[in-house]
Amino acid sequence: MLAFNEDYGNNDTDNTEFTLPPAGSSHNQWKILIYDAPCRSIISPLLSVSQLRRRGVTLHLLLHSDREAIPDVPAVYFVCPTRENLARIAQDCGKRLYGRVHLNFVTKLDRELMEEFAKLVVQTGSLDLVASVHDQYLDYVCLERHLFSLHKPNSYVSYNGSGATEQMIEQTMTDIAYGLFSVVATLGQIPVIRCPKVRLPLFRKCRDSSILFSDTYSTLFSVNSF
Amino acid sequence: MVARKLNKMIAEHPTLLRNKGGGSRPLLVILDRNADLITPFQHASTYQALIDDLLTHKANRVEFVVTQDAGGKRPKQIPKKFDLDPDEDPFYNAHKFQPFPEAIESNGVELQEVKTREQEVRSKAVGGGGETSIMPDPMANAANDLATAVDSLPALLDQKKQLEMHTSILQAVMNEVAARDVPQFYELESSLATGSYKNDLGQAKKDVIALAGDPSKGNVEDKIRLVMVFCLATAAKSADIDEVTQAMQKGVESMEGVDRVAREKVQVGIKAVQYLKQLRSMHMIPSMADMMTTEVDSSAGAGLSSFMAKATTQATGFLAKATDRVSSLLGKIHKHHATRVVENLCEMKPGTEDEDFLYLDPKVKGEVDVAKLRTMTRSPVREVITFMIGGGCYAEYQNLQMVATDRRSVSYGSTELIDASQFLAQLGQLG
Repeated sequence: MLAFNEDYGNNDTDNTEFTLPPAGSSHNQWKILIYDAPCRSIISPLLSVSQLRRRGVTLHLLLHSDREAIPDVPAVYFVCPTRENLARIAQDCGKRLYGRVHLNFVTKLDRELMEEFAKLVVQTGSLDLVASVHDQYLDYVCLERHLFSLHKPNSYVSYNGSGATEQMIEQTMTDIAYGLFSVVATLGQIPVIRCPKVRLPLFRKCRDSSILFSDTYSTLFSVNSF
Repeated sequence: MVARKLNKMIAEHPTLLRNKGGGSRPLLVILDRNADLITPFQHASTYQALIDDLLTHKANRVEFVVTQDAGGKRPKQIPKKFDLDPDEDPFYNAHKFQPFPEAIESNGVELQEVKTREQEVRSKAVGGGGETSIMPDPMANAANDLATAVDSLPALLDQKKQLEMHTSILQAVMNEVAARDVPQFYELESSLATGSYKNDLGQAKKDVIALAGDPSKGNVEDKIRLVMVFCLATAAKSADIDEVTQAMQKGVESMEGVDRVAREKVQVGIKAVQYLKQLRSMHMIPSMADMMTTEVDSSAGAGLSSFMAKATTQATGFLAKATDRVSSLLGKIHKHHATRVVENLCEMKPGTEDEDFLYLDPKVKGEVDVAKLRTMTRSPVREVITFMIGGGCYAEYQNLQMVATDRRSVSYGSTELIDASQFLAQLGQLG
């Protein structure tokens, strides 16, 4: 049901079809894949090197590494939308390392960042290189057909720790919601969402007891009340 | 909170809502790790969960060290690395959720089959048309045979390679299982979790102390995990928990070759226990006694025990010894918290989570009144996505598949996939 592999095909430049023409032909041309570390962990369980090759990917490189110029070959970027990453991509474009450039972001690219990036690209006069920009909503790691993970380390501590502030918890929950949104977007179907309600007596109880924990829990529940 | 945020995101997304997927809609169940802290600590009994628990397993890649020539003068440590493909690998796909001994047996049987077929093909290829001489046209027939034989050989060899990979993984798991007495921990933990000791706390304590305090059983983490389960699954008093913790500490101290690392681990474990005690004092942990109602799958139980007898006769070499030791890994299969919640929601059982869980529908503004909904007929659920906030584990993933049927698929996701030691480290930070 979660046919991640097939959806993933969208990420490549021009082959959304599942039966791929032989690599190197006009419909499935050779290309370079450039990713950052989080995106590498998304791709690696899905496509092996040989599978990537079948999709026309000759080289796969990390964004923040020294890469040689390969003009004429299109490059597919698959990265997180961070300021640092965008600056690096703009720098690549400025140096005209590759032919046309296709940008794929793992999750939603904020407008502010996009404008900043656009400015950088225009400044270096390489706007003509950017062929496409996509939000892929693939902010999760799919390990099996029925198993996925958002890859958020220390996730239990991040909202149960006594050091977690209201703001941090809010941020964590937003991140998780974004990740789940990616999953839902891949599914293409709108789910019905069920989750536990927080029982109020419980909340009162923990607010009244131990000082150490009351802070975090009461904020967690009062803000959420799920 | 996550549910509401997600609900809003979907509802506000311009294109997603327009997409009118026909048929039934998937059900997304969002759960909090705090509702069931036991599952990540319990020892597992199935193939995939054991790989994750006992070997280094990350992003479908498994790594372990094989000691060759163990009895010889110079034992060699050879690191091995395998990539597993859970969807494409037929053996893994079929057996990852099965109890470990069953996987061992199937591996032996399938490997034998492949070897026999390989032999057949090879002998045909070499011997030419020896047996086919009675046929009307021996030459043509032989040539035909030869062609098909040669065609099928590469596939057969691939299959063999894959099965042999599983043999060595199984062996590595087996070594760990035997060295750490995992079955004993598994048994005690699941009887604690299923409430077999409900009326006999004293006995529970005694058993836990006996196992946790025995320096020859398990490693440091196994012991800590047992204490955690004891703490979570029983209504034992704080004093009892302290006593058990001390016994565990003593057990570790008298283990062979305790070093600083082991002591540090114990400290982390004690901190984690502290954290659980705090949660308990605030009644943040639901009473586990009613959480884990055992639902023994009687048919499975019977099938498994008869199978054990068969396995011991069929398995050879180390595997024969292996099946002997892990036989206790089989037994009751109980449904974990997440599994029961999902089942109740799917089958819309009255008086369960279906009534008091929040119901959010991005297509509908505001909350949906479940009580009203219950009076109407709802279409059956075909697709479930269970999502665990705060970390999930393979054991839970596998357990959830019990709810999956031919007409209902169950997917599982979490903020991260954790094994027991990672989760222990996280709780240790909180204590």
